[in-house]
Amino acid sequence: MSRPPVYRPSMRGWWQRHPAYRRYLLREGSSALLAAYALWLLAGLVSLAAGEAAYERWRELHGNPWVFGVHLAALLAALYHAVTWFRLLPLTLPALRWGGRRITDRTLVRGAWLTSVALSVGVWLYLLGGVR
Amino acid sequence: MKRSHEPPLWLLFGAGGLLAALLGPALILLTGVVVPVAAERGVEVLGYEATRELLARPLVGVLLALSLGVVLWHAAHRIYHTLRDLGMRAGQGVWWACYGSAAIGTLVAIGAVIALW
Repeated sequence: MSRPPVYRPSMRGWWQRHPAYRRYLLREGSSALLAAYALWLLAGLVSLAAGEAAYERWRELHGNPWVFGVHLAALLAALYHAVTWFRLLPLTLPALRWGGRRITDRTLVRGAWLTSVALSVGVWLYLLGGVR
Repeated sequence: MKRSHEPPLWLLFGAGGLLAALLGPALILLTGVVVPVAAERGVEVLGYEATRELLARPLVGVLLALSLGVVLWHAAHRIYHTLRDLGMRAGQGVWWACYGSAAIGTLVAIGAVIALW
């Protein structure tokens, strides 16, 4: 995305001028919740290394209504992130061919979602399989 | 022309964005929703022994640490550029705060994983 090299005073409040600008801000802002979740997992990882008592305290915190609410918000943010990321995917790749035919943008986006579902199921089975 | 350090930063940004899109929703659903709901019903999900045994496997641990790292990097990149888009005069200090904390987070994750071995 190209940006003007300097921010001029006339640009102030640019996000109020078009719904697409607000969606752009929402998309970029979703990364803050992704970062919060990554830091939360990092805290869990550190507490796991610190021992059972610390790890169980971290696990119990998930029942706190605030922690649960932020996780729900992070889940929505991650879904919005996935929708926008996969939608832009065709623009970030060169034209792909398979068997002499060009892969359409639609197919590419569908393929990304299928990959996401397959990987998600795999990770769930792996993590839960390690529990039982 | 001055060499730019943007391309390698952009690669990390892209890796983190792709990973968050592919696995983010499923992981958040598991650790943030399934864990507490199951605990309420007396079922232990991702308990200490099992999780420790799982993450002490070098491949799993390193993959997790690097994944956390690139997602932090992705967010640092977006937050830094959004602050500038919003008109903040973000100089070197803000740059280091964003990317530096992502780098520190990655190192902490790698350290924690190594401590599990």
